[in-house]
Amino acid sequence: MAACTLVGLAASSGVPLFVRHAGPGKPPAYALIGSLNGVHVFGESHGVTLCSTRTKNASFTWRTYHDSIRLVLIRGSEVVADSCDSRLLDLMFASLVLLLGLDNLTSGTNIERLKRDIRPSYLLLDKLLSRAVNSSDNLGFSHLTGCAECVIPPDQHILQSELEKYAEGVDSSCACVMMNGQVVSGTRSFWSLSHMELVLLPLLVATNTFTVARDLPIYLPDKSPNVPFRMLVVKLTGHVYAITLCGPTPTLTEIIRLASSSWAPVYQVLESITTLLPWNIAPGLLSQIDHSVIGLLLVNYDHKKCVSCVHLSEESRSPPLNTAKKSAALEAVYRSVIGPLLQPPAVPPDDFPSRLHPDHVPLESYVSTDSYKVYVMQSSPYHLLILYPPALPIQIARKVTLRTLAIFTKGSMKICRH
Amino acid sequence: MGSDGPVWESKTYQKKLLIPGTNKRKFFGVLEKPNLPPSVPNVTYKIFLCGKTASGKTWTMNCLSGQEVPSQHVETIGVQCSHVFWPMKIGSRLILFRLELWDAGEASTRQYSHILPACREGVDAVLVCCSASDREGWLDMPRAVAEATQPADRAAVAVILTRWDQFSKREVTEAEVEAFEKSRGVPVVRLGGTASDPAQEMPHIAPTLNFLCRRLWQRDQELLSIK
Repeated sequence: MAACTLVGLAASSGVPLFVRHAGPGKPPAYALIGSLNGVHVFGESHGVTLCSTRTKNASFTWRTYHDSIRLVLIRGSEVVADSCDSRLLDLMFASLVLLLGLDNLTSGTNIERLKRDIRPSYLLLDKLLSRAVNSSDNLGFSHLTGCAECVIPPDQHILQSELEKYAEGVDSSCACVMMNGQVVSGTRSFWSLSHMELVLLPLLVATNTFTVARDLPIYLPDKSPNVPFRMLVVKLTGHVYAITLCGPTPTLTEIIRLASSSWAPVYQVLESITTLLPWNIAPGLLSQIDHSVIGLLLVNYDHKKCVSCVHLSEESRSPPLNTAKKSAALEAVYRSVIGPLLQPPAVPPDDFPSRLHPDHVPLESYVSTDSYKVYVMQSSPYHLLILYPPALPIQIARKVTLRTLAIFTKGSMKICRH
Repeated sequence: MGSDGPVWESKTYQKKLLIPGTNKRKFFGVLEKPNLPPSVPNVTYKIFLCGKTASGKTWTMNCLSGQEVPSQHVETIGVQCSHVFWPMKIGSRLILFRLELWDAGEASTRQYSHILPACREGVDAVLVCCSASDREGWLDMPRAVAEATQPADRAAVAVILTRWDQFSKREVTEAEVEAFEKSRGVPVVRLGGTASDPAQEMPHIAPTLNFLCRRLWQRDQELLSIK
């Protein structure tokens, strides 16, 4: 596990606002933070913007937002800084906006006050950092794909209609049902939130699991960066949450009462979703997946959804990978293939076409190592990454990947259904 | 506690709060409650935790609901509400208490006007949290207690002294606490540390929960007799 540090500075004065660190070791010393900012400022004064660099044992990424906040990401040696890191920084800035509001964050005249106001954001920043270092208790891919982490429940209709009724009852158009930080069902208006919002809102819900209800004042980084909403989170059962974005009403007490009365009739349905854990995929679909598949990640960029499953067992002779290793493998392949080689259909990287011949657009790719194989397939708007044991011949991996993609995209239970 | 009938019976029911086969407490959603005989009456109380930043409000909430306590202080965002179920014998009757604990983050309270009224509305008890390592906070306690409730609430008040286990950092003496309790008539609950053995989590916090439930029950009786 590599260490990862995030430093936030006031861009104009260079005063450090916060330092967050995940993984082994200590965060960098104050002097080093000063020099990190110094190098960037030096470049700027010569008309050069320093984006990223690499030393023998670390990689660095700089981003300045609205000329007021500068974020620096420092990574341990294992991973090269790439477009994923600048996207991660964008997410981190967006999490500051989410809790503070853009104007409050960028018009900062009082640095000490800003430092204090940023403190509640540590929860989200730490969550993102622990994703970045692939900590085993916080697995997920939404920060990479820019899409909401989802589960595919067996029968979505009941849940969807209940959710719409509930949303109407509490006078909100934007509502969803979540389980363990993953979206089970959402209203149309929920899915119209931006990519970043769909990544951050579930993460924020997942930061706290012991409370039954929360009233979180938040800004929407893209849709409403300066006018706050109230995100009302009610825990319905041990794992399932109902989330609504509301204005001044209803109060938290009212929403607890409304949630209890409107969801009680479908308690059994809610309980049955819990059986999807930890696979995230309905048993009907799961049983169709080939036994050689030991992990998968499916992204639908059009609908801003992704589904992952790292709890598939393997029956090969190779030493089994644990879930954290499977996640790490999928993440590593995603970072190295998607962006540089395969273009995410909905979010093209800035530097994409320049490297490749325009007539030659790759659609498939694979990575083979001693401990795993990953086959990657693009079929607009999907990306499917499948993890196989290393011994599986690649032509079989390709066939199984094609068939798995068909299972998810054809038939009645498409991932694309709202 | 001996006067409340056989304690073992409450204890048997308190086991229903745990995930079967473990010492961990179950998470209950708003649609759920512990599996007790339907004849057991349920009572619900709203408790507001107030106090300065970093006085241990969220810590107290975690401690009472038997959750793992985060090692680092992170400021609470907005309002959070947690339900603590506690089956307990009052006299000869078993009663299932549901304590609704409400806690709000300082920054949000300052920034948004709806937060504090939401926490104070219909409150049955207010717990004023203060860190035992915060001398100023303790000296300010009479004012904090006076401001904690409005007379119309008739809410019960208690002080929670957190970090009581950190002897070397303690800035409040036992004698001061006793004097405060006597002069103000406000009970002070000393909380600190967590049980080293996870199996002891519930016995560790049980006296505090028993105390709170009994206090709330007494207040109900008093209010009834006034009417």
